[in-house]
Amino acid sequence: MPAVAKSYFTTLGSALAPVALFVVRAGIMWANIKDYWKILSVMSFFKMIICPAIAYLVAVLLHLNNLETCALVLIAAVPSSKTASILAEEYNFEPELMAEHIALTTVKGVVTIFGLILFASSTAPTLFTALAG
Amino acid sequence: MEIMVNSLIPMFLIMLTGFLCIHFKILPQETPHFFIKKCYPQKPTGFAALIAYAVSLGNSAFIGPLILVLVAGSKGTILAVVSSVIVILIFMPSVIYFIKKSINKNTEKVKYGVLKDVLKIFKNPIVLSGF
Repeated sequence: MPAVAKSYFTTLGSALAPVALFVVRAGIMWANIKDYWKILSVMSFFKMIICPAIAYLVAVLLHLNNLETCALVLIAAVPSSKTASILAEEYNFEPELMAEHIALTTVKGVVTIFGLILFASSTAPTLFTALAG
Repeated sequence: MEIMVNSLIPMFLIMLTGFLCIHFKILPQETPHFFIKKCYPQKPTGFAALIAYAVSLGNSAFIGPLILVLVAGSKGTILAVVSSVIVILIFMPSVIYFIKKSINKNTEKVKYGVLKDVLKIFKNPIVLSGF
């Protein structure tokens, strides 16, 4: 692929996640967040803390190596899927709640994923050294 | 080993989804101890499945691959892609089935309706771009 086209598609690709967030109406949903704050707190706690914890426990129980454990925990810790909002919208099952949940986990994910990467780098420094090499 | 790791992701998704669905469906309405049930006592199983889907699934299409590539290198891309395919082909139709079943009690109609709805949802550009 020519360098110009590659640069263009890279820029376009990096805009995909924010555009997807706007598509699920996250931008205009912040005003209603107080209506659902109780259930949103529980849902985001499950998504950002319980899911990675379960993934970590399963990885420990199955004696997975550092790389696999790290990948499994991180994929469990990423913010919620936008298709949940699309489904909620399609069937009219609290679409505002789903959009807010996705927006909230995306914002919280910045902190929790960074924390998880820091934790992984402190517990398994050889993993990141090997990757950098 | 990658295949094994990817089979684990659906395992805990099934666990969480199952937990929430059973809780909404089997336990009596006046059960006081569970927070979500207290907030939404009258919601159907389809809603529970949708909440479980939102709570247990990660964004393996947009954000997941970027982070995994950063941390796990090219192996991370394979993990993200496989989990994304599992989610889209198995979990999304399952959630649609629960939702349709909540809306429509006729099992035969539900079977055909799920396929139709899955194809309809796949037409959404955000879902399609996940591939």
